[in-house]
Amino acid sequence: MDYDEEIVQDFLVESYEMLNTLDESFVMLEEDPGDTEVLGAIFRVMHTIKGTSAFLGFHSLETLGHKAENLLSLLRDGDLELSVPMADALLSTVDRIRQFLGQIEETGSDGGVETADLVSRLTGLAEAPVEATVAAGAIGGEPAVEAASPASSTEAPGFEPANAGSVDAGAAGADDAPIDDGSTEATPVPPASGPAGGDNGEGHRVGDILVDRHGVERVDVEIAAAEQGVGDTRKIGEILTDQGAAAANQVDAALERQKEQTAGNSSRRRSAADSTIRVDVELLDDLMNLIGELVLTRNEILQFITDTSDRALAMSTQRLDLLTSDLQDKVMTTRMQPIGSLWNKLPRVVRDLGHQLGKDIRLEMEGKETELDKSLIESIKDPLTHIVRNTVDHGIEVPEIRRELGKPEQGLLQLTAGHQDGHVVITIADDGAGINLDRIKAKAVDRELITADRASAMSDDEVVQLIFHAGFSTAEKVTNVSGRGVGMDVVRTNIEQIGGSVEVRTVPGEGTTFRIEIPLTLAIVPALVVTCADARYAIPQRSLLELVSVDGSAIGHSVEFVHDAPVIRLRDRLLPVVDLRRVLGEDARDEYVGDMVVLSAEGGEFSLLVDEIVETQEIVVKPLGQVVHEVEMFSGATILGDGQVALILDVIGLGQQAQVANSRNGGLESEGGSGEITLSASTAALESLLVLSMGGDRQVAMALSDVERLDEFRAEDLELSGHREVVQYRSEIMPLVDLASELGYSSTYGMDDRERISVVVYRHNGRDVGLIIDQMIDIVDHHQTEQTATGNLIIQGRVTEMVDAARLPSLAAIEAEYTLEEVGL
Amino acid sequence: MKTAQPTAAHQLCSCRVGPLLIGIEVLSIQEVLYHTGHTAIPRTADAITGLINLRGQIATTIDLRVRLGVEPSPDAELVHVVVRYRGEPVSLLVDEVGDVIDVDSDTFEPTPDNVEPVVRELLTGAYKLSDELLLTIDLDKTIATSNNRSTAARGPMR
Repeated sequence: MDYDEEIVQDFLVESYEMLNTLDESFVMLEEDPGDTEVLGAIFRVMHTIKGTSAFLGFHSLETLGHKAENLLSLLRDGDLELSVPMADALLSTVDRIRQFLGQIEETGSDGGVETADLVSRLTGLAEAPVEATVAAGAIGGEPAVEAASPASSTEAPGFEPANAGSVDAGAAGADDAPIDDGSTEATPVPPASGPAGGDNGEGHRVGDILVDRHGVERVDVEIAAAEQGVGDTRKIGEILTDQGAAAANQVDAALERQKEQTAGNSSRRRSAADSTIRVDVELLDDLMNLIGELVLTRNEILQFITDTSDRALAMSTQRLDLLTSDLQDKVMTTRMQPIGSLWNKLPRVVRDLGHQLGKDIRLEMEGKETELDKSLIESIKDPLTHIVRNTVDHGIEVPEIRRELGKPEQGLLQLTAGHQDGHVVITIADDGAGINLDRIKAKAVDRELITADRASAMSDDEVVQLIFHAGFSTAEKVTNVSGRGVGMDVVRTNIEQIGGSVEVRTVPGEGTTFRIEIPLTLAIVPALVVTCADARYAIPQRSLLELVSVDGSAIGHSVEFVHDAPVIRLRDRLLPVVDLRRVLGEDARDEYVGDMVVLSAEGGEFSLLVDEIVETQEIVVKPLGQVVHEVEMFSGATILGDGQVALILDVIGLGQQAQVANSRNGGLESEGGSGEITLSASTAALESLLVLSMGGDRQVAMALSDVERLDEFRAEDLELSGHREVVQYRSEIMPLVDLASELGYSSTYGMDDRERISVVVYRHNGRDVGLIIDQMIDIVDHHQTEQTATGNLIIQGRVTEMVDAARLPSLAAIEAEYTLEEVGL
Repeated sequence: MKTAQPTAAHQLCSCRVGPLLIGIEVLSIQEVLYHTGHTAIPRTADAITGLINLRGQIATTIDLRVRLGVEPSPDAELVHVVVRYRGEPVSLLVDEVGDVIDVDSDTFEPTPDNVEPVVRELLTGAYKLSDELLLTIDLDKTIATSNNRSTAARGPMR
């Protein structure tokens, strides 16, 4: 509904604009009545107004426009020559259309404007014999203007009798027509609004004015109004004077005042044309840039002010600060556009494409009024269109297949948009086939994007992400719609470029949902300024979760290690730590001490170790030049308060770094996400774990169910078989494996002269293997759900790596050796 | 902006880049800056010196000396010659800016073949001045390829 109103509003603005150009055209036409170009222009305007009003259902307006258009087309084609009456009639038409527009603006409908007289005049003129026309030369400038002016300035155009052609009852009827712009007489009761005491809806009732300003009793006014209500045709002022409740001069003064108020009111409520202007987007961009500079300057001044004791200066600065923020908000608002302006092109796209592919698709859109920055609208236009086209092409099945599957034949494509945490979230959902994960895997392997091994180990989510890979398309055939393998990667790149993200969820057979999240505006964002290796960097606050100080003490937070991968414990969760120094290519720090910024990127969380957190600041995002465009961990640059340039960190890029660090260094296969992934609740059973200390200060755990028994051997009982240490155990030879070095920890075994070797006996494929450990600490009961992506746990306040004994590399080797031996023997 | 095909007579701003004298089309120069602090961009090629604040605009700085593979002169002043590259300001770091020289296309010669290929790619030719050679460079190409990995060793990534 709102949207229709918006269309009408656009129509009004446009029509007013066009009518204004018409005035000009008529003036030109009077100078040269034969100018077909001007006639053509007038014709086009009339045609457009007619067409649009027909579309919007304003039929009286349409009829009037149509008649005028007829006459104009005859003039344009030279079948008729412009005569004074014609000019009159056309100008009257223009005025009448203005009335229509005013009426539409006020009431939303085109009812109440009389057209019969003009329609018949126009019809008459178009059919009139040629003699009625005046020779073009005779019209000249003067007479036409004179003749036209009474028509164009007429108070009630309906009164103007037509000069030529047939005159019908229209003119007479216009007497009763409810057109009354109030300027001829201060009529307190417009006939249209009924007899209810001169109420014109805006509180300018004569009675009210009399009560307020002339000391007339309200009760008298109400009595008078009541009399009107029961059929007294006198005006309220007349009733009051007749009854002696008010003096005649009071009523006159009140009427005068009402007139003023009405005039003032209408000037306050500007018509659509007056209340909006069109502005070049470039100008808005310039304005935005200037605001950006202003924000920077404000920041600069704010920095000076912290060192000053001048109160007055501080006050002015504070005001400057507030004004700048307000101004910034306002300017940003000017750039806001409803997403509907982008979406309204989609029904056509879907319809055309659907037809072409023989699909029947219903498009539902919700949240069209959601506003976002114009530049963002531009940026998501192509990605959005691409996703929609893709969905129509690949997602939704043809009716026959849908019928077989028991789905309604008509496919459904739903678009929604809305605000969420300072972001705009757009979803594109279909009820089609969903993404075929197996086919994606096969294709990815086929294209050598991933290895077959990797494919089988990938989670569904990861597989879906492959569609964003460059050079990937699963379309069975390349259509002219999509399927050239360019696209989804471009979609993602485009969206990420504007600081957004795109996710895809799919349920085979039920459909696919794309979720695009983009910031409201690009230009100015709040950011956290940090230092690292003597340089300052800005981190956009939208991805900031919290700040943690790492002092290395036992009480505070400290960085722990899973193999070489640093992690931090935060309220019983483990987060990977990314050292900004390392990311920036600086020398890694000796100890992990500094400030931590916990960030969220694409669903995963990680903790960024910086040297120091400086402050938060509003920054103006400026793109990095084209020269250095491809540096993935910076999303741009900004100028700080002191005029120095600082780089803006790209959190998503950093997150990817964190993930790489994980999968490279994590001994146990990471589940891909940089954050944690909890196991599903169904496996939330209790399990007993054997907790061991390892490599001096590390802690590992293995499932007690894997442990056959714990034993100790004297060091001198160990023997060598080949290159492997063995021990005689229960009349068998048991190979020994040093768990610490197996897991990649620094092993203390062999370094110290321990007399007794602690061994966990693990039964592997019917054969005992001894795992040499440093020390057993405890056996604990543990919920399996507490496991994290990196396979780490927190046990007794320490990060503990879970060991899956079956996956230790040496076991496979041992098995191979013994199998060979057995075969050989 | 391109200095590739010199016209009959035009003006070049001479810039000292190590031992070389480079001529940059006067009309393509937006401004010349001295002593401007810059912010380094990690993980970029050595030729990319960093970013400077150009009255609210951010300009990328390219060290022409690194780009052309020469040692800076010992008494280098470090001057930023700001040119426009695809609509954005780019500052070229040179040792020193000299006079504007009127050159005559009669004295122009294409780059000799024995110049090192990496550098020859960027040079368009030389004007034979009375005492020295004034080399002209392809600014677009020089700027466009300045962050190429081949032009500088990239630090270990992880």
